[in-house]
Amino acid sequence: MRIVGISACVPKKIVTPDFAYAKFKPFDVDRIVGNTGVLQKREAEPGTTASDLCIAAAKPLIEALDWDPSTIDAVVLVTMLGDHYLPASSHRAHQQLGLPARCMVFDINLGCSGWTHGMLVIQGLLASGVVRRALLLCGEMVTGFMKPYSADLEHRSDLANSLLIGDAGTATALSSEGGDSHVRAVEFGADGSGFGQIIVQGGGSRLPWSPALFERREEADETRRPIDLTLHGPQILTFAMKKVPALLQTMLDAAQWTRDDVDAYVFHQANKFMINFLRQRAKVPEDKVLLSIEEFGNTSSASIPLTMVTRGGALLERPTKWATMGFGVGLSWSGLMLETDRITTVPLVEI
Amino acid sequence: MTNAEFIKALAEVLETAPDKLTSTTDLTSFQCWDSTAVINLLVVFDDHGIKVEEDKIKDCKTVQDLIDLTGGKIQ
Repeated sequence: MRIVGISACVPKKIVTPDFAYAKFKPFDVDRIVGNTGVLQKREAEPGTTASDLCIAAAKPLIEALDWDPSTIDAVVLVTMLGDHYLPASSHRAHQQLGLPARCMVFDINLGCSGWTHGMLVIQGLLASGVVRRALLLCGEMVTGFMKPYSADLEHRSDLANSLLIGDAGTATALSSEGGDSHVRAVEFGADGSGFGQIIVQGGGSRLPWSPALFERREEADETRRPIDLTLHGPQILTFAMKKVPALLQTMLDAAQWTRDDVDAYVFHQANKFMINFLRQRAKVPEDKVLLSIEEFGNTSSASIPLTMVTRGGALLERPTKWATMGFGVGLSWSGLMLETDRITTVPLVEI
Repeated sequence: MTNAEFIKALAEVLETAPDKLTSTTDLTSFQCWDSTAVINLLVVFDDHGIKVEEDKIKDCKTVQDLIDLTGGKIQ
């Protein structure tokens, strides 16, 4: 498997923390901005979906690659918030991108570890020979669902999510052509004991839609609606401190790479504190860690490819060794050690 | 971890001076005693190989409660 192209799309609307300073204590906002490191992010307009962002990223990439759409035989879309309950959002991408009838089309419901998990799945499809060219679409458009639009923010308990989370969509083009593989090591895992640490309780079949889902209830010392996103920060930190440095070491050993051999480390852009903490724990050189969190926020499964596209620069063009690591909702984690050369990309798409 | 080391680290987390902290100091009197502080304290504990239950940190009312939570690892 080779990564032949990566692209990303973000909504045009830039949101800075200013909206929050007008409504909450500056101390509280400063604390969250200082911790998350998010100085701005993008917010989609009502009606835009994760698949819209992914498709807008994919179209110019397919052109830049000079791929005939009829030669793409798999499209996998990773999101936690599909356009509809059914069909899967990947089918909209299949329709909009003009992909052929002989095409494997399905969604994966994952967040922070979504790109790395998706890469593992597509690697399997390509290695089996069933598929030769695949698109991995990773995107999230959570504004208005798991967190309010910035203009609608009212409750202190929504403040952190409102400041942290951004919208984005990405496309990664993968091919088995040429025979050689870009993948030097993979690792993955899940921990069901952390099932409730990152969760939206309501709106699925466990807690079906009803007016009660829109009412605020006391949860610990906060009030939330069952349809809002709950993140348990301390538990997630403990999880990441246990899993991520070990994930990196396992992959370095498998790839037979030293820390210095790696040209770029791309962690899921969870928040700046977490990335700095994991960098120190994993003893990774600071100048090799790519960061996009300050400009785009936490964009869930889009964060790793978005960071590669917007911060990779010359690394995309020349032979490069990447360490990529995703971790979060599930709880789950996964990573790949990749060697790439001449990745095609297009300027950041804005819609 | 010694008691003095812990007090110094806790003072940094609470953005105060170590001499402002005694075993009976009320943690909730500090504006910085929030979820960010809990995360910073978890890192302090982990640096010293001290395992605590994350849920219970926020329930601590005083400095002594935090010391007790570590089960004798701070002396």
